[in-house]
Amino acid sequence: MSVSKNWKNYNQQIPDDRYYYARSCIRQNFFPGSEKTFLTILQDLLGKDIYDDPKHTSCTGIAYHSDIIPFETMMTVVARHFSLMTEAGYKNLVPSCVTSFGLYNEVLETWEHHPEVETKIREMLWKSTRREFEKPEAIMHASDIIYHFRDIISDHAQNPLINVQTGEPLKVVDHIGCHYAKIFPSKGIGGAEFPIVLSGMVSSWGGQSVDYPERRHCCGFGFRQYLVKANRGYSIANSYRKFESMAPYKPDFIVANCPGCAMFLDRWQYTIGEMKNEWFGANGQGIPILTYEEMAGLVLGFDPWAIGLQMHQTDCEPLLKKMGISYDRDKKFSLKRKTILLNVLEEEIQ
Amino acid sequence: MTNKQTQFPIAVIGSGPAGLAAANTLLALGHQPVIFEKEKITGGKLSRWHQLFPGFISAAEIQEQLIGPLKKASVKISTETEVKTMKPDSGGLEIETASGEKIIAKGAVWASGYTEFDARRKEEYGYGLYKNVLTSADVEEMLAKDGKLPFDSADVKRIGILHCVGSRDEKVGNTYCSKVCCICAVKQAIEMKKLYPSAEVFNFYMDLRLFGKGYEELYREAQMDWQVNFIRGRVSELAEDQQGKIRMKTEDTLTGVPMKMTLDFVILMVGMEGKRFSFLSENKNTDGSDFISYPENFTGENQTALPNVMVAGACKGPSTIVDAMNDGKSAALALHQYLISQAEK
Amino acid sequence: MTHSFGYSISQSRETNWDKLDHRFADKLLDLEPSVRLCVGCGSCTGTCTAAPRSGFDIRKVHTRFRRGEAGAFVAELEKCMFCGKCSMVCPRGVNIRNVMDLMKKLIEA
Repeated sequence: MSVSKNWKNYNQQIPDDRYYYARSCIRQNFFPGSEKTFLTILQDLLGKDIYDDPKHTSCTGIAYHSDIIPFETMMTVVARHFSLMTEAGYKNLVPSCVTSFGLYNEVLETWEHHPEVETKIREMLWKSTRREFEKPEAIMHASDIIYHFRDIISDHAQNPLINVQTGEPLKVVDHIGCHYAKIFPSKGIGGAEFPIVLSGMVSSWGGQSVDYPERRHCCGFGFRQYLVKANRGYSIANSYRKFESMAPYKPDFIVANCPGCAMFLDRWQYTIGEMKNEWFGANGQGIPILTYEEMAGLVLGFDPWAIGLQMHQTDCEPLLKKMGISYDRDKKFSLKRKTILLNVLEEEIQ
Repeated sequence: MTNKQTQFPIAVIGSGPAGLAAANTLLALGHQPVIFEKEKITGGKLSRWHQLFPGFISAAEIQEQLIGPLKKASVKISTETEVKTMKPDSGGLEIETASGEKIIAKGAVWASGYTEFDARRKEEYGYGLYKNVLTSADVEEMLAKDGKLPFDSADVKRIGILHCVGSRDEKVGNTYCSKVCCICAVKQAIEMKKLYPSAEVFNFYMDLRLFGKGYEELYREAQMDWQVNFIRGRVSELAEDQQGKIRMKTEDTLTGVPMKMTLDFVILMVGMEGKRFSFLSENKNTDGSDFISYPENFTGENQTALPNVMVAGACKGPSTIVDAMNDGKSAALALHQYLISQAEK
Repeated sequence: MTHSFGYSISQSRETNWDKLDHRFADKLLDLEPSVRLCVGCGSCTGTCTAAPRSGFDIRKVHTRFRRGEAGAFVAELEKCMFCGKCSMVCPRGVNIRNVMDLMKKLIEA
């Protein structure tokens, strides 16, 4: 028996092109600029073929993990996604959300061990939508793609992860989503065991990745843990544990690849502050948290407001100053500004 | 590749406790053994150890006892000579070394020993990443060399010793018990108390398997006379803090509560792993390990697929030094009996 | 001024060795060193007169006491009837009855 557990088993072959993008439901509200930034980087900077399908829906992950919808329903919805991808002529599925990533893999793994379930789901999909599908050849999380192209992004870096005031690399702590790293650790880059998907980007772009004791601890989001108010104390206690662990390292920011983690590590800092009067970060201003797309966007010189940093509860402006990024404070909440994002939107409307 | 063929009476592969004991026995039985050792120095793992459990006897002393008579009898020990394969030959046995040299022998005792578990594979313990995480083998080597560890006693308040690293662990593919780590952990705990009298020592274990003579007594001694704390719980993760200290997490299963603790340094009790040699045995072990399998029939436990090659020691499975030595003697005797029976035919 | 949002931050129930007060435990180990020999076999709790009806677990109580959680068990200690059966069955010769007595005295003192 040689179930050898080493880095080699966690190093995925990432296809170089032709991706089918599956958006996240919650990220479009929480960090609305992130997915657009990802598409812009892939299409405009890297010149890749990535299809953003408007017919795509939620993968039902939140409802599934909250025991609201049954396994079969979830699988049928996922089967429809596969069918949309087949219809569009793609084979490489790229979910934006780590829960979708976990879910797609869970469905495929289930079908591999129980082919009769696959047959049943194919029937259910046919009966309900008259659709058929091919299974994806590869499933990789969007952060895997950015990790894959991190050196090209580095070549185009306008704002490396360096504190312009001191010339030192920025200290970055990472938080990798549990549904990315802990359900199918070997399907991501490094899993929870060799967490490199985000720290690899950080070091490639000039920053210093900081290991901290609770690096692999859950952010506290969970699903049931947060959705039921009575459990929320449990959710926030876990986030608190992470902040307590990372704070002594004085990180310049946190980077995450999970929609829920980025959201909760951002919002809970304020909540903990209000509840305990304990404020993290320099001068109690909070530790800014970036999604990996936002981090890439800043490195590539995108407008901070175009990538959605005004949507963060923990203020990112101190970080922008550290990185020497000039920004127009007056335009932070202005909806009339001309940005990459809106330009693209207008073009689409026309 | 050379075609040089030398006639040697009997080959012993490996110069660890099993190989040396076998060579001594062969010598006593009137044979002329020749020893092949893969490494630069003789003695196998024994050459790196400090003191041996349960009596704290010096490893160097035991090694000298094993090697002394061989030196006296001018037994040849070829170091840096790795045996690659062996096959039947009209002269008995053809042995081929890694450098391509071919040797004809009447028979052989195979005692290639074990491999230490590479603790980096338990990435949650941070070996190789955190400077204050050592393995049991590192500790033995440091103590054998300098008699001390690279930690200032003023800084050391708490020491953690983790049992079962790479053993009884499906996640690394080793489901078996490595047998000697529990007692070695008890021994090293006492050594730590001797080096750092004011520090607290904690042994984290799943079960304590103290089967040998004097082992249970040493455990009692560690508890009573040396105030070593034994906490039942497999350590789930270690993390380094800013001062380089180690944050440990486990469950204290005797109270049923998760436990965390900051430790100044940690020793990982690394287990044993085997290596397969298809020319010695094609059979797989029931525990899935890569040790050389042998007929588990009480009487033929040194036999291999080759009638004039006997296998002995930790290459067959986790073994104490005493057991390896006894097995080496047993293999030598089994080979002797086989050669006599052949001569009679 | 702190604010409540209708829930509070859950307290951790883990044993944090770094923060516990080990003075009572050290004193107990000084006065009755045989308790160090405990292997957690559970003979004492198995034979305990009070255990089946009161939920009293002598093994857990003295183990937690030794971990430095002395204060948490004041109410538990009242359940012991000092019959001494625990000491009679202990395979390691721990004077558990005395351990019990000392724990009470240390906490009361």
